[in-house]
Order: sequence, then structure tokens, then C-alpha cells
Amino acid sequence: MSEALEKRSDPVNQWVTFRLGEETYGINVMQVQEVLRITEIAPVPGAPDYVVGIINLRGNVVTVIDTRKRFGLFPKEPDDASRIVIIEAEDQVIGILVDSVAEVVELRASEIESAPSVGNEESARYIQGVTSHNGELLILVDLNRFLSDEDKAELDLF
Amino acid sequence: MRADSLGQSTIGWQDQVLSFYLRSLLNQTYGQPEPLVAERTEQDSITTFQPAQAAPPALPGWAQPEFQVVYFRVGHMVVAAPLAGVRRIERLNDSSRVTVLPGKPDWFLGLVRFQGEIIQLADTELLISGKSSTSTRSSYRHALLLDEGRWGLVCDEIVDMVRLRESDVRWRVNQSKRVWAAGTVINRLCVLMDPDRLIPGTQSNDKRIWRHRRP
Repeated sequence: MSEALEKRSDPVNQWVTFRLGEETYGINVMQVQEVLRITEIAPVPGAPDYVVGIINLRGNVVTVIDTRKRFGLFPKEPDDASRIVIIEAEDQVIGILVDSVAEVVELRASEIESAPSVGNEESARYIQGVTSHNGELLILVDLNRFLSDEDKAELDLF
Repeated sequence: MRADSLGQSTIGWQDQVLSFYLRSLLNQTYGQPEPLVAERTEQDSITTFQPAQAAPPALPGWAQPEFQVVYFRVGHMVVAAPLAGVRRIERLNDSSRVTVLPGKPDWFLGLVRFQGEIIQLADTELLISGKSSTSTRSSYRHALLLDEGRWGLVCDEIVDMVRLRESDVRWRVNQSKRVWAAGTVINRLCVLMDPDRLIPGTQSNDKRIWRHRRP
């Protein structure tokens, strides 16, 4: 098979990796706008519990989501390593609060295994797949499914 | 005047008693008592006195006349599983890295790599008994990798591997509940599980081969 054909059939994508607790997650680099240090986040009364608040990003109001809460993990106070990753998913710009940002990795489509799916649990929606990287498993998140339609509707109100 | 005698018929013996009574009434009028003749036909005996035969239990495809099982311990329980459904047993140690996935059920422990293969670990005790015993997750020392899918059932200890006969098991007939329990190993009084039916949401009855046990 020619090299060009092989590239087309097994595309390589770049993934921004971040840490939450003991696990490492990856999101498609094409959907990452920027990475910010922790800045002042204004709380929003009546917002869902996974919403940390809102920030002013060069004149734009961006909602910041607590990814730990979204994933059902134990809460943790942000520290110096914490970052807000500004992402764009289906024309909606939001910030996701993570423990730290690691590196950008390149992965072939063939290196990604499908995500285990049991029943109809919510995570089956947004976990795109898993892959091995540097001896550890990387959990790949589909940002387009990270928020449900209901979530998006609620965030639109801020 | 003599009462008309009843002709031969296929009616049940209860009806015959009633007929005798009615004849007696008639004979009282006409003065001709007749002895009761209890005529129970063969058909009556079968339909009235013999209970319906229970359907023989349907057995999993791996339940051959002889089959091997592995006994393993989870918490305080010893459970048996057919070796036909287990492709290999891997050791879990402190260096085994289990990756926890968000939003999964409690029994879904996470992912682990064995010999380059990503395996989904299931908390066997939680699936079987609905709760965790005093043993913690760190006490899990082995994973039974199932034939179907990429599942691994964790356990504390591998106890034994033996060969059983079909008659060594009391097979379950009614499996409306605890569908994963195929039967009980009689001489050990422990559950014999059907591994293919333990993981919720993954059973595929179409793929399983069932055979009926001859009484």
C-alpha cells in the first residue's frame, strides 16, 4: 500500500492531554482554542452544580465547567497546576477546569480502541475511546457529546 | 318400573358417582337400588392423580456430560465457573495499573492492560451479591478473562480446578432472577455461574447454545 494511501486510511490526529486525579484524558486539538491559568471565576447563582462560574475572556463571557464534577469524581480545590482549557464544541465555547494540562500527543486512528459500553450510562456518550500511551491508558473524550442538549440549553442562559 | 341403565361412556368417575346418586333417587321411587361401580378409566388416573411433569432444565452449551470448573474466592464466598468460558487467568498485583473510567457503574472497576490487551475489569462480588464484603479492591489478586468480550472477573484467590459431571450439579430451572447462576455444585454447595450472563447489558441469548437435560 502506498504511503499516501496508508495515511488516508489511518489518519493521525493530535490530542491535548490533561489530568484529573489519577487518570489522563485527551481531547482533539482542533477543538482547543487556548489554555489559561486559573483566573477570577464569577459564580452564577442557580447554575447546575458542575458549573464553576463565568469568566471574561477578552470581552466574551465564557462558562467554566468543573470537569471533576462532570465526571463524578471527588472535588478538589484548584491549585497552581490547575488550568482552564477553552474549547469549542458545536459552536459553543466553554472552559473546562482540569487538574493540569500535560502534553499534545499524536495518535493514529488504528491505535484507538472503542470505549467500553455497558448499558446506557452517560459516559458511554462522551468517551470516544481509549489508547495506550507511554505505558498508561489515555481516555479520549468526544467534546461534541460532552454536554447534552439539556446542558447546552442551560448554559445558553448565562 | 325399572330405571334405565346407563350405557358405557367416557365420563369421569365423579360423574359416575353423581349418576349413581341420581339413579338411586330414581330407584327409591321405583324400589331398585344398585351397587356403586367405581369405574376409573386410565385417562382419569392420568389427568386427575399424576402431577404434570416438570420441564427439564435448559443447560448452557458448556455443560457437557463432563466439564472442568475453576473454584475461586470473592470475599467470603467460593464460586465455581466453567473453564470453557475462561480463556486465561491473569495475576493482579500492586503494579497493575487500573484506569478508572468516569460515569461507569460501581461494579465496573476500570481498564487494565494484560499482555498488550485492554481488559475491562468487573467486580465479581458486587455483581453476584450486590454488595462488597470486608475485602477491599486491593485484595483482588486475579482476573479471570472471559471468552466473550474483553471482560475480566476479579477475585481474591484461585482455589481449585476440578472436573465435574453433569450430575454433580443441581441445575436451576427457574432463572427469572440471578440469571448468572446456572446451578449449585452439590458436594461443595457453591454456586456454579454462567460467566456469559454475569455482566449486565452484554448477554446475548441468541448466541448461547442451550441444551435440555434428559431426566
